[in-house]
Amino acid sequence: MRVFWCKVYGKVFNGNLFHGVKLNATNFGWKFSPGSTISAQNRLFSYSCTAAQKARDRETEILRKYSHFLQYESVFQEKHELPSEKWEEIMQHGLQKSSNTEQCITNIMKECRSSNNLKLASSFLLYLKEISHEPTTGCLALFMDICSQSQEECDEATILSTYDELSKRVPVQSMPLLVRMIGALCRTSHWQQSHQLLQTIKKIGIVPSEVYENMTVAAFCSGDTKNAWQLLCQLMNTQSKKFQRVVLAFANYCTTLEKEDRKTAVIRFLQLLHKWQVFLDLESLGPLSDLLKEVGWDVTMTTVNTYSGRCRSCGNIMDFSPISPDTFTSLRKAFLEKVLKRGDIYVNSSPEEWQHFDRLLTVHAPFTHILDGLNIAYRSSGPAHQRSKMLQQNRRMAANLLSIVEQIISDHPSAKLLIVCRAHMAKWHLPTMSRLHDLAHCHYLTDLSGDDSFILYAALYSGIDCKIITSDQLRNHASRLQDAELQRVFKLWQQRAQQATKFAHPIQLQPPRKFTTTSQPCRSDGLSWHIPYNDGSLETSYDLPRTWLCARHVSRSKSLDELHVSRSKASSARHVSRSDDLSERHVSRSDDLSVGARHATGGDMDEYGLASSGLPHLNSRNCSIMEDEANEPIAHVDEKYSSARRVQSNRVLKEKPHSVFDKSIVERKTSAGITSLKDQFPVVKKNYRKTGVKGENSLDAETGSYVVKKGSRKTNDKTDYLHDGDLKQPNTQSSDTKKNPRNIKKKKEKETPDEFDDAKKAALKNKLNNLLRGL
Amino acid sequence: MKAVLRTALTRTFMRSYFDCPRAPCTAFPSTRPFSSISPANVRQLVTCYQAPRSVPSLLNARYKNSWTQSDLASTLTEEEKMTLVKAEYELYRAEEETQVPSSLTENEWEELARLPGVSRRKKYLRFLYLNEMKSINDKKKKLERRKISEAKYQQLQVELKSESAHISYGLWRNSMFIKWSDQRVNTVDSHRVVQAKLFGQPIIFDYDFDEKMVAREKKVLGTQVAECIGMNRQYLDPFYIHFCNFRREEESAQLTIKSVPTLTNEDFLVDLHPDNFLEVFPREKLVYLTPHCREEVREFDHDAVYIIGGLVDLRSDEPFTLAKAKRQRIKMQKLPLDRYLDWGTGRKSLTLNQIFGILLEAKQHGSWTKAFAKYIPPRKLLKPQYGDAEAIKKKMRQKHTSRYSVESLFKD
Repeated sequence: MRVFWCKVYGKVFNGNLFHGVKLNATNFGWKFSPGSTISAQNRLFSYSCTAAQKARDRETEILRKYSHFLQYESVFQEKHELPSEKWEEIMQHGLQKSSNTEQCITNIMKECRSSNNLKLASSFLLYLKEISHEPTTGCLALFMDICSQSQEECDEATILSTYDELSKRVPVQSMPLLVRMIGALCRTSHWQQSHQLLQTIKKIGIVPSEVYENMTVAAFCSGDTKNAWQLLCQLMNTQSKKFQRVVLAFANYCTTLEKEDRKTAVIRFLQLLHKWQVFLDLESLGPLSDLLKEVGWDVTMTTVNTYSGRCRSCGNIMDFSPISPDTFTSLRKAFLEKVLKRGDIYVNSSPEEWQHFDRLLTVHAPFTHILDGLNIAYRSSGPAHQRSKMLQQNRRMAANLLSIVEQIISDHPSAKLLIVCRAHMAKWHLPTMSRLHDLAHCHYLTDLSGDDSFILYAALYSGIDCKIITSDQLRNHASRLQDAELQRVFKLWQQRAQQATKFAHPIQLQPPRKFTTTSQPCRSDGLSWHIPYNDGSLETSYDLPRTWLCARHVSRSKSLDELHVSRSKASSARHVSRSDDLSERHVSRSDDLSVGARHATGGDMDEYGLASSGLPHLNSRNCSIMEDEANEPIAHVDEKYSSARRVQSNRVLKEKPHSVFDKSIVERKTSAGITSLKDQFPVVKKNYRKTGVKGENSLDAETGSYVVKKGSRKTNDKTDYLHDGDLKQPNTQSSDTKKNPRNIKKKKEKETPDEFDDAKKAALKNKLNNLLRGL
Repeated sequence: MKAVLRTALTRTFMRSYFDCPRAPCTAFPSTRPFSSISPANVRQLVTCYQAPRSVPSLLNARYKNSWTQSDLASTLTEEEKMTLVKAEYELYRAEEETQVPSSLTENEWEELARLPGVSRRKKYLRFLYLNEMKSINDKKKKLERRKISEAKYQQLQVELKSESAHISYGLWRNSMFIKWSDQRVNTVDSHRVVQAKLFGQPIIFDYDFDEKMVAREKKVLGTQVAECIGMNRQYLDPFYIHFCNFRREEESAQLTIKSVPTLTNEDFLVDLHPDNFLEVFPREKLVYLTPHCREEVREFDHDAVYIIGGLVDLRSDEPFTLAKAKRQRIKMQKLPLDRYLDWGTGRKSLTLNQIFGILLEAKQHGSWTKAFAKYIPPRKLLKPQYGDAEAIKKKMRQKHTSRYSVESLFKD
């Protein structure tokens, strides 16, 4: 399948054919790269397409049944002119069915329109002229509609005379008629006249996108470049999705240019795509890719790593599209007025609450991370039977939140966090919540307030680099901004700032995106371009495409052989790694709305390939825990690290049944790990963290209480909270491990028996204490 | 000659229309298709068919408050908009492809000009067309029915004459019951409402959301409130209805008056207050019913004054009623839907007549289950699938709890 996929990538370019192959492949039940979710979506898409097609067919069938000209159906389908005898016959037939001649003429034109037959319609108009019968106004308007919609060639004189006639007859032209007239005029050489009509439409109201589309096509065809570019900008501003005809016309226009001019024109077009954040669909992508090839670029259909932004074809890295400080501040101001306050602060909040929040921001901002407390807490998939119990659920949700906070702090030691919570969260598992208070600013809103807008505003207030941790898609907030330009900026900023959580157990933070999905030139040479396109799998207009067109400048691109080698390498690497499939499955199971998770289609071999290569050994040892861990994205991996991990996990497995031992070991590990090994061993640390949370919970369950130290957040304090008075142990390891990270493995192995004894003693002591207390 | 006149006409139209927007509008007759405009009736067209100068002043106000973005530019005057809309109508009529009614009333033209977007206007025209066809067909059917019933009556007369002198019982013959005329039923109903006005529990409809609704929603509000007033009369123990913040110059109030024309009569048994409810009732007694809050109405409180927000939100689900209750520091509660029902699909903000009916039923019988069963559409509830053991179990549990709570209600 992999080989087949490469072939498809390399050779098939025509959009339709490509799509067809893909659909066929999925119908045969082959798993389709890059992710199984995409193939599933495609299958769904194809089904929905067929369903819609069936409905349309049924409709036309019914229309056909009630048509007056059922017996002449074949005549109306054929696209050539008819002799006048035939027309006479049809007229005779029509007159029987309708009350007068005018109605009959309109009916015949309607029939032409339903079969979209321009040639036949113009021949009918000629026939009417022949018998010197005046066509009705409705008939002419219908003819204009056929002109503006059909793709065939037509006699220019007929269109122009009809246009003149119609503009004479109809004194006040309404919007639909004007749109049709422009559509028809743009098929002739007199398309410049449509500028006047456009002005009229502008006076009447909002200009529909099809007007700009038609005019742009006409402008490119006639070589009126200045107007064409202007009209193209306006077309892109209307957020239209149909670009097929425009791209075709542009490609035709480019063939007339010199080679250098052609290149600048193409780059200008791409820059427009970048500026207006337009995503082309497959139909319009075909001509564009052909054009790019002609200009001398090497074009590949590819995907991009969701997190690192590395192109899987050329290896270049995508970039953020910049947001200027002015636009950012204007976004913040607009957001405050339109989304948070909404003209009535009571809808979302109350004035007192807002003042309180504002004060918090002025005193403590800027933050580096803003967390949506409830959203994170609820995104955990535990065993189903646990969910029914309210208390346990609350405890688990608090633990979720804590684990995310700790993940962030371990990644960014200098992070300044703000958690926006609702009032009822204060009643959750107290020790965990107080721990959260130590680690971050927690701001409680009332249960009736909408927290999303507060989170977004805090992030906007803290600056462009502030991250939001939420899995909400935030579409409603974007739409409340109402201004198209602001919405574009908001979407860009959201891609940059948002970080989702994985719907997994235990909960994990997804790595932040490092690029925005827009067409962009390469960072390195500035000549190669990456253009995202919609392959038809996007469900809503807010979704971001996952498929890209990689256009490389030939002189700088790698040779083809080299490419093949790298691809086969990549595929073999993927073959070995099970992590790809696992993570894909994870994603497909999580039927959630997060932007990140949708894009996490697994198979991120560029970064994680090395990590997963260490996996087979582990699997052979039946390390069930490790399997889960392997799915974690790991930043830097080397040999010692993976071996260290292996040992750790083994120990965790062994020690799992003895929760008390586990606890004490964990305590020591956390004290050593978090303080000293922060930078050297990111994942080892994560290990500690996870078991640490587990240990903490069990500790609480058994001893019932322990001291919580509130106060400033320091790394030393962080470890202290785990220790009960009895269990506290001197922290001797840290200095050693600091000096030599490798020692940790040996040392821990050595220490285990001691630890066992200590932990046993501690547990016994605890039990005794409890018993005594009970007595 | 013909052609020249036509072009001249066109030019005058275009000039008056686009160059000077305040020029008097010269619309052509709505009933005439384009083809019938000939030199003979040009004068008639220009002189007689000036658009009505007295365009209702309300129309302007509506545009200002309108939430919908019209595709027609806001710089156009009402007359120009009307002309454009009429031109559109003529186009559809000439094409015979979109179904349009044969004529429109003044109100319908206004409504049409207010609609945003070409497709919305098309839809509305089709709606009017269907209404027209329906009324024509209804008239036909009515005539046929009348013929049949008249024939029957004649036959009966013949039969009665031929029968013997002995008393016979039945329809059109003798009966042992007194006839209750509609008027009499009406009097009894009104008597109950009068009693409620003297001693009964008040309830408030809050008309303060005029800005938040579009014309369509205001219209729906009118019909729903009319239904509430009718429903109230049929219960043994009706509410004493108050409309607060009811300002007659606002459109929502006007449309309500349109659907209940006797509302403004002095002897009508609904109280209208232009003021806020805080000036009519003490704050402690007021309870705002809003689906967005967290507290539920556990038991129907016979001393409380419940407020129903006069807000129909067909487009969005914004918590406006919650905002208002919060601002005025009034206690807010929601109906205990989740406690008694397995909610399936559909929104939990119900229509006004549903809420009002539920309250009436709960007041009379003290049973939420009964009230919900009567007034909440079953399509919104979850049906247990055949063989779905989990769902059936849940349903059983639910039944048990609800029965228990109903019993407890009766004990109290």
